[in-house]
Amino acid sequence: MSDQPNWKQPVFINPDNLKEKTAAEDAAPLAQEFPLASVSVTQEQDESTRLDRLTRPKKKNSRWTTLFSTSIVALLSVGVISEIYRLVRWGFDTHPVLGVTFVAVTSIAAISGLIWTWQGFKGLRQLKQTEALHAEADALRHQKTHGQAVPLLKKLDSYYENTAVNKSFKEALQQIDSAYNDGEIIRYISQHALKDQDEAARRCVHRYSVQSGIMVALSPYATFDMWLVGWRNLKMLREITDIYGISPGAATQWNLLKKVLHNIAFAGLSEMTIHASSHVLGSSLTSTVSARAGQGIGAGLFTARSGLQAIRLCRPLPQEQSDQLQLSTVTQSILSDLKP
Amino acid sequence: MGLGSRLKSLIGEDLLDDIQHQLKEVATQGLDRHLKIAVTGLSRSGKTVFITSLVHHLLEANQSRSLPFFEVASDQRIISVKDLSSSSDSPFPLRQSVQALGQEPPLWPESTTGLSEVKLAIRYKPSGRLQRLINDSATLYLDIIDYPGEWLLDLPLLHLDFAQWCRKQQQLFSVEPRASLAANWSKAQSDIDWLAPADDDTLAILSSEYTKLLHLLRNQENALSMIQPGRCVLPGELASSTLLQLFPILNPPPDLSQITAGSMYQRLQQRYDDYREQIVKRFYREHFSRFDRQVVLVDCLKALNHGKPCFDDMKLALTEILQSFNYGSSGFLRRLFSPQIDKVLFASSKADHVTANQHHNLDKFLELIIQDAQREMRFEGIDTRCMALASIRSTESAEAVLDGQTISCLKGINKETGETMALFPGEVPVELPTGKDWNSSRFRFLDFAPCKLPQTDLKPTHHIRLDQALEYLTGDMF
Repeated sequence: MSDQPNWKQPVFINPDNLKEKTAAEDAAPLAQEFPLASVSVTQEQDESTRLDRLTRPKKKNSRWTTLFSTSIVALLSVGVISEIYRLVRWGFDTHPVLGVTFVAVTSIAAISGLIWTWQGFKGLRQLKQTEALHAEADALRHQKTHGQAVPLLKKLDSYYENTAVNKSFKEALQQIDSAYNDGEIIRYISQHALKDQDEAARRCVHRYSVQSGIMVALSPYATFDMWLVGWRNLKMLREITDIYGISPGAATQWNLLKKVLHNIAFAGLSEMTIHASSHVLGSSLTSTVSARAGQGIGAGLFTARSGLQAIRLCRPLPQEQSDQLQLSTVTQSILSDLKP
Repeated sequence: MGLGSRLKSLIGEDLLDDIQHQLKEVATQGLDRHLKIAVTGLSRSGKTVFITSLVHHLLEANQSRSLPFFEVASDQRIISVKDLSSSSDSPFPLRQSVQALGQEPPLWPESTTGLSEVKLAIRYKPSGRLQRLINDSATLYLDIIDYPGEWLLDLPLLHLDFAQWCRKQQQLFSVEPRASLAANWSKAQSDIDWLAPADDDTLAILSSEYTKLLHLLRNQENALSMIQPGRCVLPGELASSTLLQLFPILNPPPDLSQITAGSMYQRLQQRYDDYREQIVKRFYREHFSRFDRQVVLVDCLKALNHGKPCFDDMKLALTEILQSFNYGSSGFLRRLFSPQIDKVLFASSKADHVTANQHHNLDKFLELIIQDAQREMRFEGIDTRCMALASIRSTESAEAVLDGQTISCLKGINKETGETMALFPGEVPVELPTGKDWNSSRFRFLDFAPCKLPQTDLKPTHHIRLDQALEYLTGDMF
């Protein structure tokens, strides 16, 4: 038993006796031609469009919905127009001055409404442009190449034409060094052209966050809180769009709010950690102060987050500071202000 | 026997000295924020110019806007920077260097022959609101030392004894171009019986020959880097000391146990040990063991101009040198009591001598030179980065039309002739060129004279990426 070890002894093998690989085993398929008719071209699918299709399910309006909405719109507009017409008629019948007044008021309403809508559309277009520029700049940010930033800079130049940012942008553009590579150019412009705007926006976010925090802390009814926060948030968004030179309007604001909420909802884990840390920060406060004050702080933080998201959406160039860092600095400043 | 000397004999002098030194430093540093930056580089790689330019830009940082990527400076949070060098025993000759660069025509500073120190106190406004509530200003102390690059090459000797060193040198001298350049010297050595009683005259002659050989190896033409011992070529205050009559034995006696006291071999070994203990170890302990951040300046263009032997030698020298530093991640307490280098910047200096679109390639080429050293640092979890920079810009970028194609080129003043010239110096390869490509006239990296560096009103155009280097090295401290 003992002279039979349970492992195999090493042996020398004559290399000539090794098993030869048979030709069939490793024969690569030979090069050959196929008749054209027997092959089919594999379709290269564009990654982006496929993603688009995946994420954005097509809106499928049912025929009845369209019919219903168009008929309602037609009915309402016919009703409104005929009613206005009758009003004007009645005015003229009563006294010409009254009629003229009615006409004037109606036309003022129509014109201002048109302008308002146009502004909204302009703001929407600007937001879209911003998004495209942001993506382009983000791609260039870590490139060490030369000369690829020029088209982007040209686009930015036309983007900022006739806005408050134009001057500082032109200044920063002139100071770009010939030795900078594309990534450095983007970072330089991002840091220096929008400096004042960033500062103003940050102050704006801070102010509104503190305001909504205090309001929620002081408001006696819980149902009231939501309206307060919403109201402050909308106002803050309008101010931020104004700071970054995006044309304000209800449509812009609505779109921005939608995007901001979307971003906050899908921000992912990175912000969750921040949230946790801010909870830790806040917990000592909430335990010492009161539940109301804790709610106030929560509302303030929410406003701050939506403000920072709005800044990101309104800025055509990516920010250098990471979102986390920004949020934590803003959080700190809010907390230090809210602390009694 | 006093208590001090008894303690010394008990613990050992070195350790006690170390402890004393550390306690002293901890006491002086206290809770101030101190940062000691090691500027490492072989000779002629631009250490002095780097330090001069860095300090000059920092001293002007509150007035001029020359450092756009250095966040504290571009946010205008620097209140003032004060030069505390005069409190040091051997202050860095900042004024002379800046004056040399500011005169007409501007000159590069003289190459360094001794050790000198820069101490800066940077007073700044902290960025965080909370920090600002506690303190509306804070101070960061920055220490940098300048020293001849030749001395750096002694650091690898610390962990080699004489026999090991001789073996290493033997390998070095068996490879071209060293082998043929040193043919005479190794022949003169081969006649000597190392076991015979020491003859000081022979040793003196051989060592002076060796010193001449070292000078030959590192001259413009051969441009080799691995020159040991470093004090032989640049003795500093040790000139004419017998300690420097030192050279490696290329054909040592086969049986080292036969060596008797008083023999030639033993004499050289004794000198080597003394040199290592008295010079290298002291130099290392006093100046090199306590660093927080490191810049490694490499002159890639020299390697490209001189071909593969120079490249290989430079790579070997840098790898060996960098093994002598302590690396590891360090926190606040660690920084106070046993500092380790936790961030390393590899910088290819003289980036202004190539066109701007080649900077990326220069980074890649630098990575080839330092890849072994970098691998070890990464293993320790150290943050490393490669960057092409120019401490002082000596060229302007220009464009020229050649055969209907627009190429970017450099415009500057030739250092040798003093004439203005425009040059397309060639493209920096991202991989090591093979022998055939190297000797053809592929690269023409000439030395340019510096542009004038004004005393005040500095601009970002006076340097390339110095601000980014600063941001990388010190940005997290502010």
